[in-house]
Amino acid sequence: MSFAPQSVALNPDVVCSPLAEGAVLFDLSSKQYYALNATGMIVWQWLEDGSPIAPLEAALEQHYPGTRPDTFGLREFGSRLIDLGLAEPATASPVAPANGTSEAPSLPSTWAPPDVTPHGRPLSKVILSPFDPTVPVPE
Amino acid sequence: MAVAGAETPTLPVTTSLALPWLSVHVSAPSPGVLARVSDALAKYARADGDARRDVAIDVVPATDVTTASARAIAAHATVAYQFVHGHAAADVTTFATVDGSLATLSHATRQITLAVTTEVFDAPYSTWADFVAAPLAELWRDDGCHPLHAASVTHGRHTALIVGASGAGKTTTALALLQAPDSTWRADDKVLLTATGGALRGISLYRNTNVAPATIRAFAALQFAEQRPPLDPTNDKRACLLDEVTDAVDLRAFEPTALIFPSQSGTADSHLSRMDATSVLLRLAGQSPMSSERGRARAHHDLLCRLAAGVPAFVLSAGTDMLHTPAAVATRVFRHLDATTQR
Repeated sequence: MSFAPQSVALNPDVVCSPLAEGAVLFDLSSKQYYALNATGMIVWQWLEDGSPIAPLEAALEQHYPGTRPDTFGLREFGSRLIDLGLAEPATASPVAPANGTSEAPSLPSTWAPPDVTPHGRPLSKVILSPFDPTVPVPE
Repeated sequence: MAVAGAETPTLPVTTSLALPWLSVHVSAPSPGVLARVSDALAKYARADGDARRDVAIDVVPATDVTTASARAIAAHATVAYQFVHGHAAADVTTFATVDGSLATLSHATRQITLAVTTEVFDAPYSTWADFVAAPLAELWRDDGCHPLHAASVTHGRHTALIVGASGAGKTTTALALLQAPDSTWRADDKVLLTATGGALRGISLYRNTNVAPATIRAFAALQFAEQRPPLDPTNDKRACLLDEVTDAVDLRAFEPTALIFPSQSGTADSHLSRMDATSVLLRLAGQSPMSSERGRARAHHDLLCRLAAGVPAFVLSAGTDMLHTPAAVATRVFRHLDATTQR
C-alpha cells in the first residue's frame, strides 16, 4: 500500500518516547515496542503535530538541494506505519496547526530514510505472577 | 450459659503489616484465614525509613454472587497469571481463582476485598500468594510503583541495579559485587521502582533470595542453603533470607546509579560494555511486568524510559572468574563504573 501526503492519522494508542539514538514507539494496546531511527522520529513528531506531509517534503527538498524527493523515503515510511497498525489512512484532511504554519523541524546534516522496526514479540500478556515476567512453561 | 438458638457473634481478627511503601491492614473472619493471608504477605520486605500509604484487605466468605462473578471474570479475563485471572481497570480491578474466589480492588478507597471459598483456603501457598499479590500489584502500580526483575548492590557512591531473567545471573552477580569491601545488598530478584517525589528510586520487594546449587558451591556464606529442599520439583534453587547470607543488608529505598545486565560469556574473564538507551529500554520492558490498564501501562513505560535515558547501563559478560575470584571482579566492576560515570 502506498500512502499519499496528508492522508495519515497516527494511532492514539501509540506513545513515542525520544531517546538518544532516535525514539521508541510503544503500543499500549498490543504491548509491542518499535525502534525508530532519528529521521523516523522527526517524521513521527511531524505527523504527531497534525501537520500535513507536503510541507515536510518541501522542507527536505530545500534543506538537501540536489537530492531526489523520492529518496527521502516518506511515502514508504507512511506505508510501513499503516502496515504495522501504527497509523491509518486518514479519511479527512488533517487539521492545520493552530498557528497556521508548519515550522520546519531541525534536520540532520544528511537524511537517512526513516525506519521503524518492531522489537521481537509483544510483551507477554500471560506471565507467571503479578511480579514475575517469566512466561509459564506449557504443560 | 449460651442462650439456645443464639449465635455467638464472631469478631474479625485483624493485623497490620509493613510492606514496601504500603501499610497493610488485614481483617479476616478467623485466625486461620488471617494466618493464610499473613503467610502470603510474609515474604515482602519491610524496611523502615520511608513513607507508607495505607491499604485495607478485608477477607470475607464467598457467596453465590461473588462465586458467580469470579467465574465470569475468569472466563473473560484480560490478565492471566498462573493461578489467578482478572481484569485491571482504572476504578475497580478484579481477580479470580478457578475455584471461584474473588479479589476486588477499589482504587479510590484503597480497599481490597477477598471473597474466599473453602477450596482456595485449602489451596497451596503459591495460589494464595498470587491471589493476594495480584490486587496489591495493581495498587502499587496505581501509586506509581512498578516491578522490575532485578537485584541491587551498593558500593561507595554506586548502587547497581542488576537486571535479568531467571537464570541470567542476577544473584551470582550480586554476591560477587558484595565481595568488594563495604558493599551492601539492597535487593534480590524483585524491585519496585518509582519516580514519585522526583528522584528515581527502587526498593526491594522481597526479604528472601533463591540460590542455585552452583552459586551455593561458589560462595562460602551460602553453604547452609545446601541443606534446604529445592523450591519445587522443577526448580532446584534453595530459598533463604538475605540477612541469613550476610549482615550487610539494607532493604531501604535506594537511588540506582548504574544498570547492569549480566550474561554468561563462557570465557575466563568478565568484562563490561556500554549499552545504548534504546537497547536498555527494550530489555527493561522485558523484565518489568506491565498492567493491562492503559493509564498505568503508560506511566510504567514513562518510568522505564526515564531509567533507560538517565542511568548508565552496561552488559556484564560474566566469565568463570565471577565464581573463582569474585572479589577481583567486584573491584574491576566498580572501578569501571567510577571511570565511566564521573560526577
